[in-house]
Amino acid sequence: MAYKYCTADNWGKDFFTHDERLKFYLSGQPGNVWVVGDNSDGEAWITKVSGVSKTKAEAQAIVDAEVVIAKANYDSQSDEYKANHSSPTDITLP
Amino acid sequence: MSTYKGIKGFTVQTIAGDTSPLNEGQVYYNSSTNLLKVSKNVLGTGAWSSGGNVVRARSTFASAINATQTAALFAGGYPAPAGESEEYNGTSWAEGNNLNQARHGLIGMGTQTLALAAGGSGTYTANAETYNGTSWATSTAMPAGKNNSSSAGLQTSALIFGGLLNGGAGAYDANTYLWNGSSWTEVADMNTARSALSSFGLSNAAIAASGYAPGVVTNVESYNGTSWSEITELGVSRASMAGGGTQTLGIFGGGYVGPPFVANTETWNGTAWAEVAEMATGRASEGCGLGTASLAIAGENPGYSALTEEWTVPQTITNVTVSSS
Repeated sequence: MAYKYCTADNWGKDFFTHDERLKFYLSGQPGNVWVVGDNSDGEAWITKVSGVSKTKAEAQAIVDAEVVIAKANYDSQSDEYKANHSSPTDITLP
Repeated sequence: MSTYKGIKGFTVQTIAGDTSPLNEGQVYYNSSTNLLKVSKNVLGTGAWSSGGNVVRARSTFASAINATQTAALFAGGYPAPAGESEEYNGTSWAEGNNLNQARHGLIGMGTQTLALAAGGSGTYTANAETYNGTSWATSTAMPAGKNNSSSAGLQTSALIFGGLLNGGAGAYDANTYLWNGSSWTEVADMNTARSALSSFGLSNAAIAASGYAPGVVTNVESYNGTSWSEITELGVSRASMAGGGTQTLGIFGGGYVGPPFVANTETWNGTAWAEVAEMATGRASEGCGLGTASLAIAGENPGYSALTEEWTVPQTITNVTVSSS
């Protein structure tokens, strides 16, 4: 499957609809990165949400930076917190 | 011999031709085609759509687990720990009154107007609070303090199970507490101690799945009002899923597998799990609602999330012919 990459702020209700989810692949990632199925419906959704197109490498760099922040946050947490959570790991975009 | 009227209290209606769908389960006779018909609820394809963002991004809060997709409630959470509650109207979240004790890792039961929250951190509290649709009031504390438990039921009859006891890593709990509206009673232990497990159902008919102990637990258990029994494991075991539903029709979405965070969604039909459409944003979150209409609220992936996703299975009442064979 081919993908497009963009950033877009999720404004909430109807940012993506039930009907849209049945028409194209959509995956939200840290840093407001969205991986979108490369078809006409996915393209229309990117336009609808005013998505800013990114290359895969650019999108991956945004996600990586968010994971670094999350790891630092985890390391600063209490033992009690860590007893219920694992440390964040790297995310590889499809 | 049993008759339809004897069982249902009325006769089968005779209609000259097909009619628009009647009430689900209603039987009628089509005198034009000489066929017996029944109105049946047909489920469509479920999917997650975006709901309103919560006011403040957070995780490990108490969601009123039997609240609905259009009238939900949660309170507390992390970071802070937080005391604020928020209410959902199907479109947007609005901040409500605060818990009396700000905390995270607490667990919620009930509905938007009659809720119960108990346990949590940072001091492994046993304290419980009830919500009347407007404000929180201190209630009877649980027998022991714990955090990251899971729950089922309503404000007047609820169940809390699992969690992490004071003692940190290694103090994973299998205890189950039954709430009758005024006091707690310890009932049958779960078979597998764990925290960050997920659940749905009522106090006498609950499903509890997966969790963390440490590392992701695969076990899924069913409670029948007396004891827990092992049932079929999820296709993808994971901790901190959003759950909603009943013991015969439920859903779990998201969670974390070690990590990473995942978007997998599985539905339960009373017998087996089925992998269905994934969430848009995989994350650990809290949930509420039904198997056909539920919410995945906020959480973390791995930063704190403000997102809401709404799981909806379209339903259509359709007339079908009753076969004689």
